[in-house]
Amino acid sequence: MKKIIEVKKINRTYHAGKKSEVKAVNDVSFSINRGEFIAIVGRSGSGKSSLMNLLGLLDKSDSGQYFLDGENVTRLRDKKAARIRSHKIGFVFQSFNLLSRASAINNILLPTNYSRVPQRKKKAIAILKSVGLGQYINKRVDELSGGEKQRVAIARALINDPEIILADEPTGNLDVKTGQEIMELLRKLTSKGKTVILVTHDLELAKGVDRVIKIEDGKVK
Amino acid sequence: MIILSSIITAFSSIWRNKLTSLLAILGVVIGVASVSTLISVGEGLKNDVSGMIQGMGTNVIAVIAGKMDLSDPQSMNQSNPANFISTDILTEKDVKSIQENPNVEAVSPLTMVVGDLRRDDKEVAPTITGVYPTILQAMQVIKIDNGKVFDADSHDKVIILGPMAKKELFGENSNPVGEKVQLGRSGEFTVIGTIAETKSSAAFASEIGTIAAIPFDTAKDLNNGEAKILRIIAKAKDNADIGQVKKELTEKLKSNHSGEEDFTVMTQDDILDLFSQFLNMATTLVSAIAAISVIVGGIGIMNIMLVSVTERTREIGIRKAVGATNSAILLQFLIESIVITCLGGAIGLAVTFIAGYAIRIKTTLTPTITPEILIFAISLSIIVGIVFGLIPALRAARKNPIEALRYE
Repeated sequence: MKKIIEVKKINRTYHAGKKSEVKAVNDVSFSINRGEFIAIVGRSGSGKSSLMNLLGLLDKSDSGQYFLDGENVTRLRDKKAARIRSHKIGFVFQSFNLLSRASAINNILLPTNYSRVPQRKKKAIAILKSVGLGQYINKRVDELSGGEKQRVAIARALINDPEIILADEPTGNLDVKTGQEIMELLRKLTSKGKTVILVTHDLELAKGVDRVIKIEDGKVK
Repeated sequence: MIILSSIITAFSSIWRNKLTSLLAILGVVIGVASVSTLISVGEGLKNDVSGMIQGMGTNVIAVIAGKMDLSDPQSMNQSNPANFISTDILTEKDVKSIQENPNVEAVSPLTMVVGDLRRDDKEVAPTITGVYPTILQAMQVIKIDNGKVFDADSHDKVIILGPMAKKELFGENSNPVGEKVQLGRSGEFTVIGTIAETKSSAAFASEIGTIAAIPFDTAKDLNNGEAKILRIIAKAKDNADIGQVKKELTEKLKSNHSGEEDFTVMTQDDILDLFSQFLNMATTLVSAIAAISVIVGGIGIMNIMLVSVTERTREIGIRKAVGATNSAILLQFLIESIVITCLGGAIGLAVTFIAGYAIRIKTTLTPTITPEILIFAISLSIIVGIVFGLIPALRAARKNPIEALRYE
């Protein structure tokens, strides 16, 4: 299978003061194949979120190399990184990160402000329906339940048809049953060829994935 | 797409924070309204002056004492300002020289006489001027509505009253012809005519309205035989080349004054230019002072935009995560700032229209709102939006997406 992500000895150190520094990502190397459902698992403070930020091009590594779909994306300018985020990566966050006063459809359409999506409204409605929220198209997201909000977030992640979905603790704010539903939704995406990277502290949650990458003190174990 | 969505976001943001937004844009409203109103008043004055000068009739030439550089009234090459009111520079010989020019149709000196007009217990202080009867041909804006004009060589104590003097001494709808009035200590004068209210410029009608004319020779008698000519008014023939006449008169008068050009020959165009330049200068100066309120308004906009950027830090993080570049965020906040200032500008223009209407009905000024003023107000609003929205927009654009997403 073709590699969609390959990181080679990437490092990320944060400076908390003049003398204090934290090696959040320490010589990490791994690769992920297209269509895989991967879980990056680690305890709080293990560096998994820092790793996710690097994989999602929200941050840059201090050293090492990062290849995304065969392209070296280690040192990209803001404009190029934003373009790749827009076209190849969809984010799902623990706290949903939706525009609370906007409607479900306007939240889903948000990424299309920065990319060209033909028939974007039609597509957004189709995606909303596919995540089971066809009846909430024009409802403000602050009137939705946690599970519904996360479905909107997943729908937003899918609008630009990205190859990779980065989900950071997507069930963290949900009850068990709703969490399972969200996991099911993410699993379905891999069957459609998407690569899903789940970042979680919960090993139980990671049981249903294709492969687990354990991270501890910034290192892959 | 981003422009449209930014405009929508800006409006919804204004709507959500109605009171804060209203207070913030108030400064821009006041700034734009005051600058636009002042410019429109200036424009109105220019139109009034132009109307008045054109109302004087065609081909009018005025000769004034003192040398004025008409191409640059601010230049330092002007005469001593005292020369402009001197009555010792222009002479009867000059009047005669002008009269002899074949292209001049009519000429009259204007000489000043000091004194009030009294009738019983009523008193009025018009500008009393000694003129030739030909003043009526030279300045066609002056028209006699009752009575007649004096003879050319008259030394009689007769007077033609302007509208103000007539109204104050005899009442508005009276006919004072044949009545007597007292001119200072110079004795009794018989009213032989009255000047009609002029229809030219409302703002400057008072110029004509406040005069009272007596024969030139009588004025000379009152001034102990001295002519004391302040100005000479002439009218060139209709088919004459006014520029050429001006040149000829200047040369002739210069030779009368031993080669010294201590006077200025002005055509209507010169007067118009002079007033326009003066009014432009005055309007610019007053508008520049009013522009301070635009700056204060801009600071208000910057304040609300900075608050907005802080409040929406998480939103900025979300936008960056879904593909917004720094420049897209910069553009979004700049557009929001411009939308707010343009809204302020639009309200400011509405205030300008209302103020213009109020000024028109309450005063003699006629503010004129030209398309240029509209373009200026809109441009000013956009510039304020850009200048004062830039720092908040830069701050938004430079936010670290990871920290922004964590912002509570």
